[in-house]
Amino acid sequence: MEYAIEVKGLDKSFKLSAKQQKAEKTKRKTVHAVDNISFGVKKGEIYGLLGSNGAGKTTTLRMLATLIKPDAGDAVIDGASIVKSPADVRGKIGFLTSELKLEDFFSVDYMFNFFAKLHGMTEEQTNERKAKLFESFGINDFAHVKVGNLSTGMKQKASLVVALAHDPDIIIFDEPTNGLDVITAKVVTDFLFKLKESGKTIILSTHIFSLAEKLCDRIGIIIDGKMTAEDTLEAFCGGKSLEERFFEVYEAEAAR
Amino acid sequence: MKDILIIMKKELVRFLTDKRMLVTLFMPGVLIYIMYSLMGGLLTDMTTVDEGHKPVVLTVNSSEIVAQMLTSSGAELTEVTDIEKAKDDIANENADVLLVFSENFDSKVMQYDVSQGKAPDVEVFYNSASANSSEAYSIVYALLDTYESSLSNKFDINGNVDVSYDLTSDEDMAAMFYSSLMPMLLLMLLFTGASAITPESIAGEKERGTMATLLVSPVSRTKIALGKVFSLSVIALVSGASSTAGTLLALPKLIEGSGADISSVYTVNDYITVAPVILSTVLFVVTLMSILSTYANTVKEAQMISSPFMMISIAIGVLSMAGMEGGHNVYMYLIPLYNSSMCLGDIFSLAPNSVGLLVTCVSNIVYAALGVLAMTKMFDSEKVMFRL
Repeated sequence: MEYAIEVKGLDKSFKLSAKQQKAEKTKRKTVHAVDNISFGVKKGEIYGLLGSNGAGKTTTLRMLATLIKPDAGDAVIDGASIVKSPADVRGKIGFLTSELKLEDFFSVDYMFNFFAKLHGMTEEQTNERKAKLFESFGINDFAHVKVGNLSTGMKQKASLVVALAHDPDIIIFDEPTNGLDVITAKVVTDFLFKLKESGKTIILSTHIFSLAEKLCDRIGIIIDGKMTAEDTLEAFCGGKSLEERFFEVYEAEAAR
Repeated sequence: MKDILIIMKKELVRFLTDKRMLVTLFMPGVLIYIMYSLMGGLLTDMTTVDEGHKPVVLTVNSSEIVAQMLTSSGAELTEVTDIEKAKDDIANENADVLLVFSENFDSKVMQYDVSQGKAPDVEVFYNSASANSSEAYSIVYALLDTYESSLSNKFDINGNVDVSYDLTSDEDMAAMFYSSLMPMLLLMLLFTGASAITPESIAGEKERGTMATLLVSPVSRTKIALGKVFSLSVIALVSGASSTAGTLLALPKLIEGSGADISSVYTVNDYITVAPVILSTVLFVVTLMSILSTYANTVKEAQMISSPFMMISIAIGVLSMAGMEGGHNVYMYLIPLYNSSMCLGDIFSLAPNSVGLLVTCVSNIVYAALGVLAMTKMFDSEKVMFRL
C-alpha cells in the first residue's frame, strides 16, 4: 500500500534565548526538538503521534504543514516534498491547530468564502461544501456573526471548517480536542470518524490515550524528540491498554 | 493575479467597512479642516478693524496743520489737557490714539533748521492689543511721516501710486508658497495614512495568529505581500487625499488675502504630472512600512519602529523646503523620499523636471518591488514570523 505521508529523517533544533534558558533551568544554547524522525502514514489511515508536552509532536506537525522548515530530512505528502515544493503541500493538506486564528473582524461565512477562493474553489463548490460543513458542525446559527464575538468553542469550530473548506485528502490535526468543551469535543471526534470513513488520511497529535485508542490505526510514541516506538495500535498494545503500554515505553526510555 | 485581488478585496473590506477604522483614516482630514478654519477665523478677527470705525484721536497742544490733515482723513479729534487720563483712555480702548505735540509745534516746525539743536517733537501713544488703535496708529504715523517728508523733500522712492513696482504675479507668489509647502505636507500625510493601517494589517495579523492561517493556504508569499501592499496603498492614498483636501480647503481661510488660491495657479496638466509621483511614492512608503510591520511582533512595536521613518520623511520635506532652488543632480532623484519631495517641489513651483520625474517614479517602483521581495522572504522565514 502506498504512503500518503512519508517522513524521512526530519530534524529540527531551536536556539534558546537567555530568557528561555533561565526558564528551563538549562545552560544548553539549543534544544533538539525533533531528532531524526521517520515514519509513514498509509492512505486512509489515522496516525496518532503520542507524547508528553514538549516532546516534539507539534514541531513535527508544523514542519509537515510547511509553517517551519526542517534542518535536515524531508517528508513527501501525496507526492509533494515539504522542502522542495511547500506551496503544493499547502494545497493538499488541511492543517488544524489552535495557533491558527481567524480574523475577529469577519464572519465565519466570509472567512470560509475567502479561504475557499484562495484554494481555487468555484462559488458552486464553495456553497455546496459550506452547506455540508456548517450543518455538521452546527455553525449555521452563528455563520454571520463576527468571529470576535464568538465563544471559544464556536471559534474552534469555525477554524475547523475553514481549514477543511477545500476538502483536503490529508488532514494534519494538532491536539484536536484541546480546549474544547465536552460537547464540541464529541462533535470533533465524531467528525474524525466520518472523515476516516470517507477515506481521508489523518495524522494527529494528542496526549489523550482514550482518543488515540478509539481513533488511530497506527501509533508513534515521541519522547524527547525521538520516535521511540511505532506500530499499529493492536501490535503496539498487545492486549494491554494504550496508557499502560505508553508508560512502559516511557519508563524504559527514562531508565536508559 | 486572481489571488492578489482576493487578498486585496479582503483588506479593503476590512478597513473600509470598519467604522472605527474609517474614523482613524478620515478624522485627520476633517480635523485639519476644522482647526485651520477656526485658526484662520480667529486670526482674521484679531486683525480686522470694526467696520465703519472712525479713529478717535486725543490731542495735547494740537497742531493746526496736523489736525486739519487728520480731520480730512476721517478721524475724530478731541483736545485734552490731562495726559495721564488720556493714556488710560487709550489703554481701556475708550480712544484710539493720543498725540502729544510740543508747544507751538507748527511755528517751531516752520522755523526749524536741521543744523539747529533739538527738533520739535510729537509723541504718539497707542494700544497694540486693540485692532482699532493699531489701525489708527498706522494712519496717524503715515500722515505724520508724509507731512514730515513733504517739508524737506529731496527725492521720492516708488512715489507713483499708480504703478505696481513688485513685478511678481499673484500666480508666482502662490506657486512659491505651494512649492515650499506641498512636498512636506504630502509626504507627511501619506506617512500618516500608511502608518494608521499598515501596523494593524500586518503586525496585527501576526500578533493575533491570523497571518499563520494565511501562510498555510496555498497562495504564494509573493502574492500575499503584493495583495497587502496594493490594498494598503489604495487606503493610504484615500486617507492621504482626504487629509490633503482638508488642508487645501482650509488654507485660504488660514492665509486670507495673500492671493495664494491654488485653483488659479495650477492646471489639470500639473495635477496629472503630480499623480505618478504620488502613486509611486505611496507604493514605496507602504512597502517600507509593511517591511517594518512584518518585522515587528505586535502592532505597538510596529508603530514604534515606524515613527522614526515618519520623522525622517518630515525632515526631508523641510529640507527640500529650504533648498528648493532648481538645478538638482539627476542622481539625487534616486534617493527615495527626497526624490519625491524634489519632484513635488519642481511641479508646484511650475518648473517640472521630466528626467527627475522619470527617475523618481521608476526608482520608487523598483525599490517597492525589492521591498515586496524582501517581504516574501520574511513571510517565508520562521524566525521572523514565529520568532523561532
